[in-house]
Amino acid sequence: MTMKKLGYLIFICAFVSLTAHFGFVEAEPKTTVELGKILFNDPILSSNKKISCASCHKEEFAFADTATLSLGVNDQKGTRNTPSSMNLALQVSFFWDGRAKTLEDQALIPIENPVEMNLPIPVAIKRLQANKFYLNAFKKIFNEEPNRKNLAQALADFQRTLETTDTPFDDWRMNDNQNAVSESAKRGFLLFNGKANCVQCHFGPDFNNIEFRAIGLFDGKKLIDSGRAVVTKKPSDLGKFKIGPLRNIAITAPYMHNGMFNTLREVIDYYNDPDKIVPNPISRDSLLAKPLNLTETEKMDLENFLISLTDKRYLVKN
Amino acid sequence: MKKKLAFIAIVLAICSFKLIDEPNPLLGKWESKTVYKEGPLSILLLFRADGTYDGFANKKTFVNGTYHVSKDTIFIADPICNSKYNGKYKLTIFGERDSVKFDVISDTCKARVAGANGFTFKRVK
Repeated sequence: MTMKKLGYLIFICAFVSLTAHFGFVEAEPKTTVELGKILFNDPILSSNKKISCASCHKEEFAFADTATLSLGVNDQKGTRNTPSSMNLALQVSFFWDGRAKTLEDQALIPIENPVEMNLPIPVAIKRLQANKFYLNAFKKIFNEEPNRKNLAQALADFQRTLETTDTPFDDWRMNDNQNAVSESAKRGFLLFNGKANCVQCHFGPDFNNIEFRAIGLFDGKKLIDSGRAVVTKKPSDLGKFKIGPLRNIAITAPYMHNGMFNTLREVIDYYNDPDKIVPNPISRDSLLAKPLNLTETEKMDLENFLISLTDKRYLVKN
Repeated sequence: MKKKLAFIAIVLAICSFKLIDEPNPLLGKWESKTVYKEGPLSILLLFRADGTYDGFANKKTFVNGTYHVSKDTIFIADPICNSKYNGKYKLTIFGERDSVKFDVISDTCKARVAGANGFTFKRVK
């Protein structure tokens, strides 16, 4: 190789390296929301710097995961299906067992969880303080260095912006746009409120009320996650979980706290006759005592209603 | 003949009374703005002519049901509480008929009482 060629090679390498470096530089955030979004996507908050919040809360799936159980640092498996990070602004409890009461409390727990991001918060804070970009950003936005409180606030404020208000269902109800949803979805909505009785638990702006219910997915043998009881220590909470919100449900499979159902149809089949799937549940809610006896058409109608709760931004993509 | 005329007059009077009966004052959209968990919360109610209504929280549908108005009273039902049971609320319409307040008369549904009783909504123009 001639000296000239070597010179070109070094120049090209330097150019590629510099381009790559500057290409990844984030624009300076001006608000807590913008800062939270950068932090949400940055693996700096995991022990091995390979996992970010967005690794499991994937934007294209309404900030949920398609895996039954998401993988944390060093490919460690969690024990519960990743819930969506969307539509949390009006929620009063977080996680399947409701162990956090505010979004700020929620935001820090996965960072410290050994099977998720596995990074003690004091270490995370030190990392952010040692990082010029974050040090400047926190100082500009909060007038102070990164700390536990403002880290939680930034992440929580970003998550509060992830709301779904533009669905075919809302268009139908708010604007009386009869063409926004299919006739099947309209029948599904009637079933939801009537024969299928879903509305007894799934109501409110995000269709999940604020309660914890035992839907029969705890039998003490194969299904051993005791849910809410882990937090409250009350035997009456055995097998209870937070009622799942339904907005964007069509794109957040798999379903339930353990991700045991792969499709909406499987979920509907379960509620139609729970005993067929889990024969000996412990403390199953009396609302599910009898089979619903839904016809195949009714099941399809219910599914089409649930699909109508999908944010239009995802319907366009799909 | 006189009796017939009197009868017709009475029938006409009844019909005309019905015809000039006040239109439903709630038709359309009403909004109440408040703060929830340190963030803005807009509750919007949409009352339709077919006797159905929907409620929206920050543009998200959160309740729907049926209603009817008789004089200054609204009878309202939804499937969350019980679609066959009507809660009864006194309506106070004030200002330039652009504000309405709901005061419970009788309602066994605690959640609805908590969400409606004493609340004032402004007509959305």
